[in-house]
Formats: sequence, C-alpha cells, structure tokens
Amino acid sequence: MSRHSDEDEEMSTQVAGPNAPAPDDQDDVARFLLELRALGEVDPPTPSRELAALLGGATPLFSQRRAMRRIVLRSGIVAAAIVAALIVAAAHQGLPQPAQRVVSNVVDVLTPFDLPRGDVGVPLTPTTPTPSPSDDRPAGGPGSGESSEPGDDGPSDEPSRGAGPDDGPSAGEPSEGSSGSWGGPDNNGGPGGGWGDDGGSGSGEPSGDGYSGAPTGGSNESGGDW
Amino acid sequence: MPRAELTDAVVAAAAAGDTDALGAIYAALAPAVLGYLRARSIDDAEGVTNDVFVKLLPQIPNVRGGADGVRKLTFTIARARMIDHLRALGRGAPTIAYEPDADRRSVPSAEDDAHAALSLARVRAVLDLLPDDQRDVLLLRVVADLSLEQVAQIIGRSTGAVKQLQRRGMVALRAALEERRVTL
Repeated sequence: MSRHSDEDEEMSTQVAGPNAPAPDDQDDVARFLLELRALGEVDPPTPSRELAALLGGATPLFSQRRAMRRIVLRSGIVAAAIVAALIVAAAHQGLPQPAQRVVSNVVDVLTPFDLPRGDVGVPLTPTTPTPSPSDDRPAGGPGSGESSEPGDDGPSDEPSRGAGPDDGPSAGEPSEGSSGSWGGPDNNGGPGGGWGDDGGSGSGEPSGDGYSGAPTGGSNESGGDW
Repeated sequence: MPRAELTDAVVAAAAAGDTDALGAIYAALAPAVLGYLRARSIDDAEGVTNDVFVKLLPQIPNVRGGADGVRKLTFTIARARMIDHLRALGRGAPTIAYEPDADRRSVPSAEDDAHAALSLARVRAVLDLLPDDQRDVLLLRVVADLSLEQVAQIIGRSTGAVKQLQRRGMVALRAALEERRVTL
C-alpha cells in the first residue's frame, strides 16, 4: 500500500493496499486499517467558489502586488544585513580607511553613537595604563596626563625629542605604526613621558608603562634593550 | 475510487501555473484530506477541505520536495485546520488511554461483523479509543499515506517517537478489536 519503505512490518503487511490478502485471511486489525484507508479513497468534495477560482486560474497563485511585496521585503532584509555588517566591521575598524570614515560619519550623523574614524595616530579608545608595581612614582605617573611633565625631569622636551634614549615616541606625537584603536601612548604622554623619564634616569629599562607603549614605532628600537 | 498518483512533474507544472496540474493535485490529495478530517470527526469536513486547498494552492510555487513536499504541506495545513476547528467547537477528541476492563461495550457475535464493512461511525468509535497522538499518527500514516519521517515533521516529534506511537497505536487497536468491545 504504502509508497514508502515501511520500517514497521506490522503496518506494512497489514495495510498492504492492492496487494493485501483476501478479507477472509485478514485479521480484524488489517480489515480495520483497510477500512481506514478507504476513507481517503472517495470522490473529492466539490470545490467552493474561492477554490474553484484558484483551480481554474481565475485567481492567479501569485498576484503582482504580493510578488512586489516579497521582492521589497527581501531587498530590505538584504540591505539591513549589509548595513549591519558594515557597522559591525566599522566598529572593529575592519574597513579600509575611506570606507571607515564614511561609515563612521554616517553613523555619527544618524545615530548618537560614535564609531572609530580610523585616522592613523588618533587614539580612539583611550586606555588608562595601570601603574606597574615597579613604577615607584606617585600616582599620576607616566600613564597619566601629568606624566608629560617628567619630560622636564628627563632629557628636556625639545632637545631630546626624537633623540631620547631609544628614540621613544615623544609626548603628544602620533606614533608611527600604531593603529588608531591602540590608544595607549601618546595623548596621555605615557610612553613618551615614560621614556623621557627613563632616559632621564638612565636606567634604560622600560617600566610597565613603557611596555604598554612598546607597539609604537619608536619603541620598537628599544626592544633590544629588553 | 483508487487514489490518483501525484508526481513531481505535476507539481512542477502546477507551480508554473498550469491549471490542469492544479486540478490534478486537488484530485490526488483532496480525498485523503477529506478522509482524514472525517476520521477526526470534523463536522464540515468538505468545507475544511476546501479551506485547506485555498491555503495550499498559492504556496505551491514555493514548495520544495516535489510531490512529497506538497503532500506533507497539505497535511500540515489540514492538521492545523483540524486542531483549529476542534478548538473552535470546544470539543477536542478524547485523549484518555484505552482501558479494556472499564469498557462495557460489546458486540453480539464476532461472526456478525466478520465480513461487514466498517462504517465511518465504527472507524471513529475505534479511533476514539486511542490516545490523540496515536490516532493522529495512524491516520497520517494510513489515510494520508505519509512516511514516518513526514509524519514526524508534521506533528513535531522525532521519527523514533512516531514509530513508537504507531506501534502503541497498533497494539491498542488490536486490543480494542480482538476483544470485540466495539459496537457496530
């Protein structure tokens, strides 16, 4: 009976359809199942007016309006997905710089949120360096904004800029090679001041703050000292 | 009336808007839908069958799986309409398990009904002795001619669970029939 390869032997043998055994050979269950099956072997009911219109083609299965609505809906979903992907990528600065700027500008204008612009050297998410245990300076050390002052103690700002020990990045200058999102060193004067400081002390050892500034181009040269 | 075969080609033609193919789908599936609804004691089975196809036909172009997909979708809609209909009437089919000892009904003789055709009333009487889920599985397997997997998808159970329900339904059915406790 069944079009399917029936795993239930009882069902398939008892409801065998045209190949079923003669009624005399059947038990009650098989007869009942055949009767049950016969319920689905009657004439189809007369179609209602609405159904007849569908069957006769008077009512198209797809109206133009419905098809258009579907196209618009699908297009909207795709567009929303693309915009969402762009915003997520921009939030992670995963876009090329021009695209990053465009997306961040649009987001800035249209929403209360700020996205990184991806400008080189401009810190976008300032980090607050934590003083290392080895740093015995009082609070407001190299990582703080006040840390730019130690440059006064170390090699003076101007003469030593770019000529300090290890050529560390000077305070306030964008560091080469640093990505915009890595907001450590410059504005806070962390590494710059720190290096100045260290240079002043002549220790040459980077403090914890100095290490946090390591990824900058200038500090790369100090790697050898480590 | 023998069942009309539903083929993938017919479904494809219907999806393209061929009215003859739409009619063929109706001719192939409407009797089974009607039988399924009648077995579930739906009063206006013809009207609900019409509703099922009014809902089904516009979805034909989107159906995947060819004839099997259309058959599955048809009975998914039919089952949903049946449940809605029963809820609207506020009288769902009984869901209690069959207890032979508590059943006082009997028939005079086994010989009397040995060769008699089972009427719709008797079919319903027997089915009403089964729990709702077992009854549903048997109807979808036998009347709708669906596979275990298709039934599982329609009722939202695993294939193993459907197989188990079918087996239990057959055992309960046999118990009800062999003990001759169902009146004609």
